[in-house]
Amino acid sequence: MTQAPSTAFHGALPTPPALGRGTKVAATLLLLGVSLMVLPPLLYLAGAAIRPGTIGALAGAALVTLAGKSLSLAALATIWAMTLALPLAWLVVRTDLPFRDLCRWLAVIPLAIPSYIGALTYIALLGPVGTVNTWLSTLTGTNQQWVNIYGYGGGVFILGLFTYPYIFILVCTALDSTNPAIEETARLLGEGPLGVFRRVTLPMLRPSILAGGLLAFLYALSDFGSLSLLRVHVFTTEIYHQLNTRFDHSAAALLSFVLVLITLAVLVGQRLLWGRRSFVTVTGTARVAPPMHLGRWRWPACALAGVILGLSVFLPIGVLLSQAGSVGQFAEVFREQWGFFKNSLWTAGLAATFAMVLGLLIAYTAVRAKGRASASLSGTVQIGYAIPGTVLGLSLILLYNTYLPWFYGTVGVLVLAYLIRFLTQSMQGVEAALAGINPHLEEAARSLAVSPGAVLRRVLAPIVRPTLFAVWALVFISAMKELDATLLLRPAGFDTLPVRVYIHTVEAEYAKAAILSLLLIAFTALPWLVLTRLRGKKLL
Amino acid sequence: MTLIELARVSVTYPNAATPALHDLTLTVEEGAFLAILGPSGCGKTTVLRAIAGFERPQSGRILIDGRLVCEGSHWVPPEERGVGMVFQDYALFPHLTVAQNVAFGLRRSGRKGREEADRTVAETLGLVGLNGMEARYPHELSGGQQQRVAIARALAPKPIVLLLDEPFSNLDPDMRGQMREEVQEILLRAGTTAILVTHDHDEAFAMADRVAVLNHGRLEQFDNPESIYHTPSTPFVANFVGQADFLLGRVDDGKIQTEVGIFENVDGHPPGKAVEIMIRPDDVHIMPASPGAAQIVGRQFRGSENIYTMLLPSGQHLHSSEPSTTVYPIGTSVELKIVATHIVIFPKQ
Repeated sequence: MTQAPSTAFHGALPTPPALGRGTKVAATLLLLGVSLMVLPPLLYLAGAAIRPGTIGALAGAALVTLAGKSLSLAALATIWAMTLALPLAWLVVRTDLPFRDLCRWLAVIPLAIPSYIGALTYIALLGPVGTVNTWLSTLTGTNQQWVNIYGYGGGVFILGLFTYPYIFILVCTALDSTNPAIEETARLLGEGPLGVFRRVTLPMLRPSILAGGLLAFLYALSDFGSLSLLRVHVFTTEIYHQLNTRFDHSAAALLSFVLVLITLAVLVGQRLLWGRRSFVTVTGTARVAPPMHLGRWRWPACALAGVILGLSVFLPIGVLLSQAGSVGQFAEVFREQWGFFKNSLWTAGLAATFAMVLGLLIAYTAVRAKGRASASLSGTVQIGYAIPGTVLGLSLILLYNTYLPWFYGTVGVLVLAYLIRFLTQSMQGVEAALAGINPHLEEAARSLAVSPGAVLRRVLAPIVRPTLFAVWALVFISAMKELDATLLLRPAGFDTLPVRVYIHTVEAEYAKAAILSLLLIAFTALPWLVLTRLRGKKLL
Repeated sequence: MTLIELARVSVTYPNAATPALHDLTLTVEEGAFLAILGPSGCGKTTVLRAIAGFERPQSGRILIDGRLVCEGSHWVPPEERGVGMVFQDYALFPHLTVAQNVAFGLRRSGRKGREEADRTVAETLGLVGLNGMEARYPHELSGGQQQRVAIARALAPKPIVLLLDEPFSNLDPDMRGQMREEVQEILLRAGTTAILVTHDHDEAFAMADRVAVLNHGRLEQFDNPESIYHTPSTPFVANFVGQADFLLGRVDDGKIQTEVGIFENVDGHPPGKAVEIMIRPDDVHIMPASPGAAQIVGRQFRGSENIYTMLLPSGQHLHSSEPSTTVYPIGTSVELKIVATHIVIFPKQ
């Protein structure tokens, strides 16, 4: 019933020819290498966590309170993100909202603003010594605290505000690809426009909403940077506190272990809940639903979109620009901090290159050698992605401090941490590209008497090349922005841009933090823009 | 009794130079099966969408069961028209089971309502032969089964009319014939009035008792299938519903003279006028003869028949349908025998 587009490949055509024993061996070797990278830190963490005596160090009740707080914060942030994403997605895809294309483009920008920078902007604005409080105090002549972004509510607000694009993007795609005939059928069966939305559109969007929600939830659960700046006590901030101010390794290990268990429980629960019933209908219909006319609601709807984009895009960028001050100041800070900037660039670049090469190898063997080894390979890689940065940092410290002290405290650990965290991005990107290649292409090349090696070089590589650029950029961006693990793992004196942003914000030097944030956003948004351009040209 | 009435309906899409529908007038009797036939882009789907209430005509009016649903600013939304529709891609609700899909349009308020809805669902699924599939999801069904669910869902609320938009085009060719028969039987048993949109004349002829041929948004002919085939009213219809040759002729002495024979001047064309006479391959029979009136220049074997192409002395081609076992070599000189039960003559353009 689906008419597949001619270039892409969907469906159950024959799987590409396996390359035999060689690939099996390669898969096993790769599995071994990746496992050695990912698993020992976690195992060591588990060992440290369940050592006798650690449970006593942290009362069970405190642990339960902390868990409740972390989970409820992540849940509320997710609901807040959904509240922002759903109406905006519906407005830009399905209605004649003014500037709908512009809004759709702008709504993705918060992904380029790391949540700790988002937190910084709102602290500079609504913190105890922020712009609003200072201004109101001068205005009224009293030294009162009017607003305060610090705390639990602030954490929910910030995390939802900067993670809603995850849900927005998925819901937009789902809305784009829904077959308009389905909604028309519901009309013919007696439902009005509202009933159709409630009984058909919303249920069909549910998988996308939940998938996006899961991303937002996991992000909120693992976030350290913004919650630490906002002084919220959750797992991640408590781990950092135990490690850096109380130097209590076993308490930190126990907290980390519990957080990993919770994360895994969420992931497993998600698989069990919606593993079976995935009903994504991407019918290749050429027809697009005509936009709904908002009538006199057109401008109020535009105002709503404006508020959402204002809070998540314009206000943060505006605050950063106004805090950054003059160009001269900008240049001075840039000169002063150039070293840290360089640190960020080369570590992220190195991690991205490793991740790209390794991702290609893993993806190629996974697509070729369809066996238990390759399945557990991608599973192992994904574990690395699921571990919160703070926890990963801690486990690497514990492991390498004990067994490879000469390695611990070098930049190598930092790059290794980036690799473990972001290898999934590169692996999944390449895997999707390889899986999307019609196997008949390879067979056609083989039938033209071309050797398997030449097939890889002359057919697969040129097709996958844009994807390789893309995954490199993706990992580079992620590593550039990484704060949580970097804060724990950086060698003494080796700060990166995010670390400097964090430190300046803690010390209330908002001008410096703002300048570095702008630089960071510029350097992560740039590859991202190139990426979306490539995607727009169908190169991805 | 007239159930559906379209009077001078015109639809023009925004940014389109020519109207998608132009002054269309059609009626459908209760219990009838109408096929709207035409090439792609002729506006046939627009007719369905105008009846269903998804397109708003710029002029004209539409009545469904005596009720005015559209004229000028008067407008009845789709959900209040009592019309059922089966889409080309079935458009099943992917998040609902077969039973829930079929029950979608039924009122389920109160215990009695629910019981009745359940009964209707069971009945309708029985009608389309899908008992036992109630708990399946659409993606777990084959193409033919999905189609039956779509029909059951449309029939369950007992619509005034059922609209079918190219319902068989997504099925495999061997499945298509079987589903046609099944759907025809289902509709007969349900006693539903139906309008089918198709570009396949075999399908229109096999299923419908009335056929409307559309071209460029205009109605070319509205008749029963036999008349459409045997006495097409325009050369377009003649060509669209089957293979046809147009032989040049001239009106002379009250008859029409052509190079293959003399025909009755049935429509009374004026003397001396150049005309074209339509001849279908099944009207032409050939016998080897030397010297003959024509020569065989081609043969297409179609399983149940052989289609021969003959070259006439004037250079025109003529086709003949012969039994599948009658095989003559190419180059054979033949005598022509034309048995035209229906003589169709168009003025030469």
